[in-house]
Amino acid sequence: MEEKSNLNEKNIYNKSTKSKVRTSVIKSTLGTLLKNNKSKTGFIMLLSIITFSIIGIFYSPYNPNAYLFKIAQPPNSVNLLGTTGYGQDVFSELLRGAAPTLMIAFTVGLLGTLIAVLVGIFAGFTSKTTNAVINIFINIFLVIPGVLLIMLFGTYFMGIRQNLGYLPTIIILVITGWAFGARTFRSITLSIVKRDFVLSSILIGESKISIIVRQIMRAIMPIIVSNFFFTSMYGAMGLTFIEYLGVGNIQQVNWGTMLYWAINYEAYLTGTWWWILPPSIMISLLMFSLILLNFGLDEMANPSLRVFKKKKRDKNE
Amino acid sequence: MNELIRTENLTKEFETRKGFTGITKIKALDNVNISLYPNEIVGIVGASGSGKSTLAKILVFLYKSTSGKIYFKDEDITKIHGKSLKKYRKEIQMVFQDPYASLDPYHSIEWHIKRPLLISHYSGNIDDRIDELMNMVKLTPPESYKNKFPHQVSGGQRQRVYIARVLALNPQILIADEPVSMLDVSLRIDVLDLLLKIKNELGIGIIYITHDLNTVSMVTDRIYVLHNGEVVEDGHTNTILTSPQDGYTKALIEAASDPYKRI
Ligand SMILES: Nc1ncnc2c1ncn2[C@@H]1O[C@H](COP(=O)(O)OP(=O)(O)OP(=O)(O)O)[C@@H](O)[C@H]1O
Ligand SMILES: [Mg+2]
Repeated sequence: MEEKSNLNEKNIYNKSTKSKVRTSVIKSTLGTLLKNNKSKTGFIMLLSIITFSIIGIFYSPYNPNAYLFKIAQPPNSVNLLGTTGYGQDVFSELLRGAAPTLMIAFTVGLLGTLIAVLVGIFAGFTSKTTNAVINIFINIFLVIPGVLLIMLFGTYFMGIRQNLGYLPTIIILVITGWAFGARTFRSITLSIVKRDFVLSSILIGESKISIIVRQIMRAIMPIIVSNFFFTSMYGAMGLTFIEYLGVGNIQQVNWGTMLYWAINYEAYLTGTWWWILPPSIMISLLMFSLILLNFGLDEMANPSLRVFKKKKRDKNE
Repeated sequence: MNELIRTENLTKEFETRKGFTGITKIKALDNVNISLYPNEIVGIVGASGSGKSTLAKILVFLYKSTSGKIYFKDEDITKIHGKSLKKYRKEIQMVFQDPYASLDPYHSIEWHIKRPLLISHYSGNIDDRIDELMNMVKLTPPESYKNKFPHQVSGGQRQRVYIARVLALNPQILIADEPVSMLDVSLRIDVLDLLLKIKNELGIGIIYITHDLNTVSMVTDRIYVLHNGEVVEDGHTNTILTSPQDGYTKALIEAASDPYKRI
């Protein structure tokens, strides 16, 4: 009887520590990212930009598409950031254009990283010939200039774009943006699968899928996150570039089309800086926040470093 | 008693590209015949590059042999693959040389021992079995090690974790490729004692690979001396260490200051 209760106690002890460990892994991952001052700044910046974009979904002072005002007015009490060369309110455009810009950046980041991870890890974990074939495929996408692909796919989508919204833009950016990450993941996987701890799992009888999900993905998680940040950056930059080239849908309101119209109007020559600066600054801030977030990832990459630093912190406290 | 495992003229050639001119072949193993019986520890002794690790990796099917045969309990398993390979792998496990590389840095010690139990569909209580295994390898009390990560324990403890991991599968054969060479001298004896305990209590046959004649005299019953991929001498450990026949063996023994010295 006594023995039984002892056993129960032990089980309860095990369970509670286990769940504690699991939540602490998540907490410490986010925690280490935020303990780093640079990534903390990046995180706060990104959060502010996201808040800005969410407000923009529900509210803007004026209809950003309507030509309600005198053209090319500098900032004043009615138009916080002045008006465009066509008489739209710049601040309303900036606010309304935030959400689509972020949405495209992060969708491209997510899809591009997903494809890169799948292709890269598969290539690194398959037979030599398949690996070589995939490698050639990756390199083709890396060698062909992105501009060329953007022009090619852009003009292809030109005709059917009207009812597809942002889908063509996203597809173009993902097609041109996945290969760099795939090459990284491929070479990292190739080196990891030769390590003893992966050989050990093969000998123990782990399936390939299990090794990929439980061990390889886990080991390269910081690089996956970092790749997500960089591909998102590429998405934001690529959006402006696509709009700049005029192969996107320039009727939509986002920070890229704002720049397109401003440049089209030769805002930089006519001195309407309040039109060209706000979207430029917002895009730069978005990039900057993602770069800053990346700084915290080094520590995340190395668990022993993390524990060491944590101990040091605990001592200091 | 019949052999657990036996090799017949096992040969392994590596092909390496040299410049543009073509391929050079390295014979890492040359007609190797060894056998292992239940309940014994057999030593494979040889200098660096003699083919010891190659032999180990062929026996666990990480490498394919070029020619020759492998028998597991008189069954020819040279060409097995797929499902039967998976079944065979449970029976023969390997302990790696470097315990700092053979444990996944992102997973806890408990995870390392739990996985093989889950994979082999262990029928009893898994938590109890983990405790039992950890006690077996003297990681006590288990509770204080379970949630630790590999970098939080010593090299000797890592090697114990690894041994617990492979014992979880209940193998009949264990191949230990220089399991103590990366460890502090003071920690070696404990791990070697553990190998002896495994042999005595579980009846597992162990192939102990080393270049260190001092440790070989401590644990092995018989040894094979490997030189450039060839077995140049084999027999009872004491016989060979006291009256070596082959010139290479003599040189090896001379190089080691005192084969009977206990570390
Ligand atoms: N994957 C490989 N490709 C080509 N040659 C190899 C490979 N693995 C081993 N060799 C060669 O085979 C020979 C035997 O190597 P092996 O690793 O088996 O030696 P070893 O006895 O384990 O040495 P050590 O004591 O240094 O571990 C060496 O000449 C080595 O260069
Ligand atoms: Mg070796």
